[in-house]
Amino acid sequence: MKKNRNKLLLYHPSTPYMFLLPALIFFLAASYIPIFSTMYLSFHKWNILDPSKPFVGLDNYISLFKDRTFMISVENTLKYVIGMIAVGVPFPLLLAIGATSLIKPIKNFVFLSFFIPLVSSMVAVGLIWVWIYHPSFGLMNIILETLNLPTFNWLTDPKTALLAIIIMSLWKSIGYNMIIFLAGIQSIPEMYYEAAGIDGASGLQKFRFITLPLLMPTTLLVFITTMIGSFQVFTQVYVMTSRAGQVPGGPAYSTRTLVLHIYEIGFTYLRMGRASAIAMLFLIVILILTLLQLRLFRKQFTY
Amino acid sequence: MHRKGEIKMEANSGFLYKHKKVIFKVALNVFFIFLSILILLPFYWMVITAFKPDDQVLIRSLSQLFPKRLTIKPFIDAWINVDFPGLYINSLIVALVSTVSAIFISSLAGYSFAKYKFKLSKLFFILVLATMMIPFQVIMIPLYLLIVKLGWQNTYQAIFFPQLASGFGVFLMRQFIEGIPNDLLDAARIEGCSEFKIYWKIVMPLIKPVTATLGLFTFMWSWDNFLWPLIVIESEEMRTIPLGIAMVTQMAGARVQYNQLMAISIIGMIPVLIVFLFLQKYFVKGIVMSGLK
Repeated sequence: MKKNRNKLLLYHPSTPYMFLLPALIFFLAASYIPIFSTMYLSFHKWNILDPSKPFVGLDNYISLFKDRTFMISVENTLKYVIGMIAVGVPFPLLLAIGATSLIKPIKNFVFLSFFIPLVSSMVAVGLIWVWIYHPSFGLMNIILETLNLPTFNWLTDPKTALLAIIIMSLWKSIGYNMIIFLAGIQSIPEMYYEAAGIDGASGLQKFRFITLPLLMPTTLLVFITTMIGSFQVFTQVYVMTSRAGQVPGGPAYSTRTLVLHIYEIGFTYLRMGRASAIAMLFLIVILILTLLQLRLFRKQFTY
Repeated sequence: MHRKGEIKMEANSGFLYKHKKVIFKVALNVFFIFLSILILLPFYWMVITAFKPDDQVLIRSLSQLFPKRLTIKPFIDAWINVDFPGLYINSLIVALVSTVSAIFISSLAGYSFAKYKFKLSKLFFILVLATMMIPFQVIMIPLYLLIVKLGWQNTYQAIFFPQLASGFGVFLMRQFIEGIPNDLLDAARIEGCSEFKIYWKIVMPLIKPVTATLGLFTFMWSWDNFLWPLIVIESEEMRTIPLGIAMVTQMAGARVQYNQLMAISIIGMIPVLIVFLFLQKYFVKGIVMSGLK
């Protein structure tokens, strides 16, 4: 068949390349050349205003570990990622499982209310949460006060600022993982439950021995995509922590994340070499996580 | 709004349902209603604040949740202080160009990968897929330098340039186009149809659902994009919606009027939010596809 086709080729051999051309040009210009430029820049010391661009080897990388702000930003990013995973993976899983048992109109309402934050503009909801976290007049403290719980200065206290951002991010994104879990639940063949029912399994047993194990691949996948996404946090931090005359990422660097650090070093201090070195380290972390995800994906459809 | 796109939960309405305990079921429903109200509370807070007169905003009790007097003055102030028509036009231009381009570049490449056998097919496909692993933040510095070199700061093309296509889009298109029967394409060839005409007249009409999903995702991604426009746009006239409304807090500083700020949020997000809610089913599809790559 294949041979036959080659003999009777009905199109010019260059046709597939012509169709590919726009994509190839785009990815070359917008992905491949830039990634090698980042690598190149990371070995050079370069302030954009300075014409000299000396090669400095690994200096940009080594000096990072003496940079206190960088270390703080790594620490903050890790805290953020851990917070997002610790709540943002198990909670949507339980919600998705619970939601399957809701009655129809309530199910639609629940689905819609989790969907709205997900499709809302991050900047706009960031502003809402700045107001919610207002120390004296914000909704958060009003509710806490009504419940006789301690109140906080949320975004203006270095101890709670990162937590405030994590809470907001969870609220915004919880529907995303819930949708993926619902799809996972939906893909479990009904006959497993029927067979278990015939064998006399209780609801709890079905959950423990069918739903949970069969959702393992989905859970791992959600775990890694959440981790990758969380490492890239930027917009909400920028919007919620920048005030007039203040550098975003405050107070006292308590919400400075890795991407914010790259942004500040590169575009405020214009130190392109050093910013590129951070970007390269960032890339390595994301690459490892993505490759892990691809391996897990292969196992995804084994059942 | 639900129907097809909704995740079908009935099929496995599973173990809890069969758990006979009615009380448990009622409790579960009540719990979920409570949770949903909690999730929607910030939006309610935004709306009531936006309709409050200036002297009613800073009241410190739960009675604030049910305001007595409402006014549209904050919206008028917001409209005067922020150039919404300008912001919307900028966002719309950038998002539309990105969306149309993403659909065409991705479907052309996806068609090539799905329906032609050629030497470098596999290599190119891997190279395209590999771009999905590169976070934007890693390449934004050289991209910015490129924009500077081209003298494109403060232009539309600077904003939409990195969004013209995506590895995800090509992958999505290839998966979908593979499902089109080869016989259909060969029949058209024998009829004397040109290769481009096959793509345009046969393939494109058949991939409408995936075009809608990819288009919507690209549009939304472009609409919400903040970091990149923040880097390449300095002039006020070229700002997109997210930039325009984010700058309000920076300018106003501590003396920000919260009712006006919430009115700005509302005008900035509600029109698109409504559109997105109507297109819910495509979103759910897209999320499932992106998650299960």
